[in-house]
Amino acid sequence: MTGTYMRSEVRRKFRDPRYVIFALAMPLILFGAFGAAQSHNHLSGITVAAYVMVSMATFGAMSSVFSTGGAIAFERAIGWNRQLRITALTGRAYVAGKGLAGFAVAVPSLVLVFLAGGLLSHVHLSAGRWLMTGLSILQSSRSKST
Amino acid sequence: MHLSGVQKSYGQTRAVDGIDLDISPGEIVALLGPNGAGKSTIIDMLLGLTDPDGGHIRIFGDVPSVASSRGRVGAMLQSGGLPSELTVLELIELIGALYPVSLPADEVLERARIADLASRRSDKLSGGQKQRVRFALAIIPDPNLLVLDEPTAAMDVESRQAFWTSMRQWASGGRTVLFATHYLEEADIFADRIVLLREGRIVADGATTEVRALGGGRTLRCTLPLADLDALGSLPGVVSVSVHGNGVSMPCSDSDATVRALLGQYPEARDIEIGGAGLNEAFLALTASPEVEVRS
Repeated sequence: MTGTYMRSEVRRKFRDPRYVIFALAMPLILFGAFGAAQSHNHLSGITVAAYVMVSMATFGAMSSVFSTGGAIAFERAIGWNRQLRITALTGRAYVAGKGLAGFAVAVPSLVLVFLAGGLLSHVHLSAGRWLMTGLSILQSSRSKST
Repeated sequence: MHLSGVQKSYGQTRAVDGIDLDISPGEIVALLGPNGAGKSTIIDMLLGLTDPDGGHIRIFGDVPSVASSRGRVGAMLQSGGLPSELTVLELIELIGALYPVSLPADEVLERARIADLASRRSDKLSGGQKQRVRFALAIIPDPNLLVLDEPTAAMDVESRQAFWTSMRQWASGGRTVLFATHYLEEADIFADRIVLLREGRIVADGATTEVRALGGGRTLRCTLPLADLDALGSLPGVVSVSVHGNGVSMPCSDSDATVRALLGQYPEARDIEIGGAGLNEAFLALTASPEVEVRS
């Protein structure tokens, strides 16, 4: 039950032009414009490319997570949440599903920027460092959104 | 379905003011009333979307929210917007997954006659098609009671007809339908029973024909050249007389007595018609607010 609901929420995000433009495309474009070519300049001890990569990954992840609030407001406005309320889906599961879907779609938006950084701008991090950077970005999006 | 002493207020306004209502399985009931009579509030309470301030409601022995989540009640909601990113089939699969038991998606598509729309996104549907999709969503858990709030508001005549055809098919299996409407003809044609509401109270409740009879007497019309208004007015059972050219129209309290006397005194009267008061008249007579009654 929750599985199908989550899948449906994620599928909706990928068909939502606002998500595709602001959370997937924009961070990549901005990274390309400001950071991609700067693999030799340094800022705070790391390359500018790495610095901008992390910034843009955070921007993409936060755009993804923040869109959840707007989505709930929109569903209330059109009355879709009433249709859901008369099913067995509880209010708690509804909000949890929305929140989790927000994080699920934050992952591709930061992975895309990481890929661009690693493959095109030669940002070299250890596997553990890549993972921890990603997780801390998600963690900070969570604390900003609550 | 059982309601007793149900009340609901919004601030100072009493939206629903003490409703007692029992509906047996298999009945098709129209909830009829002007805007603001409390139809939508009653429906929200029946579905568990709003709790009553007083009184209690049981549906198949459960409180409304439990009956809804068990899938015993399906609903077509008035403001039921559909998420634009999903196709019709995906919507049906989603809602189906949210009930403990649900019909297979292809059966739902077929029953709602929307198999041709399965892969269409919901923002690419016409008003009538959207309404059929809402009907599909309502029947997914194979409910015993279907609650419809103004189901045909956005439909043209043709889709309205098609809608009621599929509704009749659905209800023929002994299932209960409760629908709110302000289209009198719809209540007249489709319902077995009409519950007429005014300002949050039930002002009439009965078989469609009974409610229609509450509207008052009948009207006798005939063609009678050179009619004498006063003489006609003094015929037994006549309430009032109006003459338009050769046509005479007389609302009567006892049309049988009137027609006998009329033929005795005016054998030349032709084209006699006696019409029952329509549901329109009953509706207006019963739902007019007191101020309006005084003025008329």
